[in-house]
Amino acid sequence: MKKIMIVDDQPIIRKMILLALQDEHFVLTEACDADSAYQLMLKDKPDGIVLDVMMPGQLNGFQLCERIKQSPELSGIHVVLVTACGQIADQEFGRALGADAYFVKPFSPVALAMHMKEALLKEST
Amino acid sequence: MSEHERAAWHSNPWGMAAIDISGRVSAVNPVFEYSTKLSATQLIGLSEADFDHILSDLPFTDRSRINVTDGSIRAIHYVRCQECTERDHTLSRIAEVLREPLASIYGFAELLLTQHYDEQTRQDLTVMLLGQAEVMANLINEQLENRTLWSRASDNRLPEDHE
Repeated sequence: MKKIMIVDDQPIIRKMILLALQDEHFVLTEACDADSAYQLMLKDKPDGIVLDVMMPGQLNGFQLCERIKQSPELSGIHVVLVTACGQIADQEFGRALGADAYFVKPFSPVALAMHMKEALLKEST
Repeated sequence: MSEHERAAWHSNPWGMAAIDISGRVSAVNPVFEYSTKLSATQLIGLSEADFDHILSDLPFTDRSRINVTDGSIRAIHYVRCQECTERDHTLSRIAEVLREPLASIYGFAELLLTQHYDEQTRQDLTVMLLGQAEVMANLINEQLENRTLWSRASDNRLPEDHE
């Protein structure tokens, strides 16, 4: 079983992603901001994270992504940024921080689920 | 100019002016006219030296010249005015605000179409989908009334949860 954390300040977006990722291969957890997500992932290291960019709190999604990818303990987490920032520069910035994928809202939850399966399940087979 | 090139020329967010092989301004796009407050009639036919002289007096946030080695065009001048930069930033923020409810509408619609859920779940998702459509309609109406959406956009804040 692979653990995926869904981080978005909007419950309705979390619900949508949760529904899309519900699968016998995944254990899903949720966080409503990057700060609590960071605390949670230190305890319960997920294999993947679906991370919103613009969130209230001390950390935004870009900053959490950077922190994950710079941490020796967490850098293996597959980070997918989901964001309403559609500009190419934002996407390039996300990738420069080490994000593994970038989905611009509105995105296909089915495509997101396929991406997570390919990224997380392929490596375990 | 092909249809595609024509569309790119007219919809480009940069002001663009073409210099032909004789070294004269042969075309300007609407954003260029807007940015310089000069009409195509005033600009077309000017030598590049005169054209450069005019541009040098105008306050642009960005300006560049790209050589072109194809066909009848020698170079294209690109300009960007402060007003256009600010307007694009605001429009970009509005797009971000509208993408949030649109993400739920798109996502729930796709899930309803492609996944098998029991009747109660389908009904719950439909209610959420309708709720997000209402959120989006309200945002658009607010924008049309020139109120909250613009302030949200300029404040760099997203709408609160709407459930």
